[in-house]
Amino acid sequence: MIGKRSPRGRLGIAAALLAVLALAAAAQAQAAPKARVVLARNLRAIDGRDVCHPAETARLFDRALEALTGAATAADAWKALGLVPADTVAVKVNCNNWTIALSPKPELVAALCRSLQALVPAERIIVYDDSAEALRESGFAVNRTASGVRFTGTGEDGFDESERLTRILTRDATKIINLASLKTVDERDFIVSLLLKNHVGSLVPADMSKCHGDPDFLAGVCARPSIRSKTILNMVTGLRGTYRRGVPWYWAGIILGRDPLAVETAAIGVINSRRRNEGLAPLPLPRYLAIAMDKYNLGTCIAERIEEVQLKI
Amino acid sequence: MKRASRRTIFLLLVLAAACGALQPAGSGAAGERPHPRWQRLAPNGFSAIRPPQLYGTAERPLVDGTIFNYMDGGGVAYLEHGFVELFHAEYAGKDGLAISLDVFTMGTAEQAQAALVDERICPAGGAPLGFVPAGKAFRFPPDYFIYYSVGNKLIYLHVNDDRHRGGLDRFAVQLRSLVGKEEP
Repeated sequence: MIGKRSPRGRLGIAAALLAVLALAAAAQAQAAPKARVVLARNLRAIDGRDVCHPAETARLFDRALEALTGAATAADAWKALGLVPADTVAVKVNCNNWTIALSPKPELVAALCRSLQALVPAERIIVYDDSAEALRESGFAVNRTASGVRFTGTGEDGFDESERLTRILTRDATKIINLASLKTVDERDFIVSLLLKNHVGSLVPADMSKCHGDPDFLAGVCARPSIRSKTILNMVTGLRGTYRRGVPWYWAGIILGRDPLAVETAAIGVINSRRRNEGLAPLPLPRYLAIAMDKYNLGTCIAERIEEVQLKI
Repeated sequence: MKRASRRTIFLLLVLAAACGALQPAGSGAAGERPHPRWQRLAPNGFSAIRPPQLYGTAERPLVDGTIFNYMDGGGVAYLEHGFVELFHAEYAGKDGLAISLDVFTMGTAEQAQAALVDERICPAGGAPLGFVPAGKAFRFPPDYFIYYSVGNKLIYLHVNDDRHRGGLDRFAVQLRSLVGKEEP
């Protein structure tokens, strides 16, 4: 038989319950898996004149993917990331080479596409940027045929009016890989041009300039349903990158993970470590990253929640 | 009567010609203006790979669009320095050698000089250029590029192989001379 409790007793029970809940929440936060980011470097992958070594670049990519997923084979690694054989994969690259060429090396894209083919055929891989001409200038052979990996600009496929994104993402792709370049732009709005800014090139051209001066708009692009739900891998190539606007260096590595914000945060860390060596002030985290985390729940840019795995090949 | 109508036609023609002569040079579209000689210049041993491109501002786009069509968000810094229009040309030489030229027309010579010392446009460091006091050269193998200003123009030149930097410097000197002669 349960007797009546005094108000003080009820308060005590409520306080105890609250304490238990708080402890449970703290324990859950501690136990929550961190966002794994692999920072892999291979100094043999590129020389001091921007010449890539195909085999060493492939080794760099394969080892990094293995470290990210824990899988022993490329097929298992892609399965671990959610890829299935029926998928069509879109790879967004950034070939805006104004002043310094920082587009992804064709050798790296070849390694990525070859690895993907452990699970999906070449015909269902689409490498794209907003401009086919920029792809060509970056050393990629534009291919819009039904044979082999498709290399194309967004202009050919048109745009989805509801998401205001290229139809490559909304209609064709079932999975997306965001492949950005390690680029410092030193602008008030952007500071860097990494993963979030890379999808500016997926937008309806008339919307591209809306990203300037509007960090919320920029953060929201990656939260659009197609990008949010289909992205399986985020990668920043720093075979050659810039640590200040227009000043390149050969970091000879790639940074990859599932969480776009964690990867972007780690990439800024790489830039800042070089800046410290050069006696430059570190770059702050761009405001759009905080918005992407707090408002759009796209991932984390909190260092304690990121597990960085350093890999030297 | 016949003489009167001939006189009227003559007067109308004179008036029309006078109106044409009084129209400011910059009031027409960029494509309608006579091309200055420096726009037709090419580096020795190189030829233009395509017609030059012209970019303007959001308020006054030119045939190839706005500065944002050319360099994405990087255009903001140029606009802050009074950017008016951009002439962009690319030249191909032997063995994959490529030179690119950007001539940014700013509102005034002071704005062009201010753009030159803005690190968002012209990176920090660099070596002084011998032929112009405010110019800078940057060698980041395999790239070699230079920035300098002439009047209200900010000029950027790039070659994709720094071992050919001498040729780029010579082209820069030629260009400077022609731009200086033709632009106020």
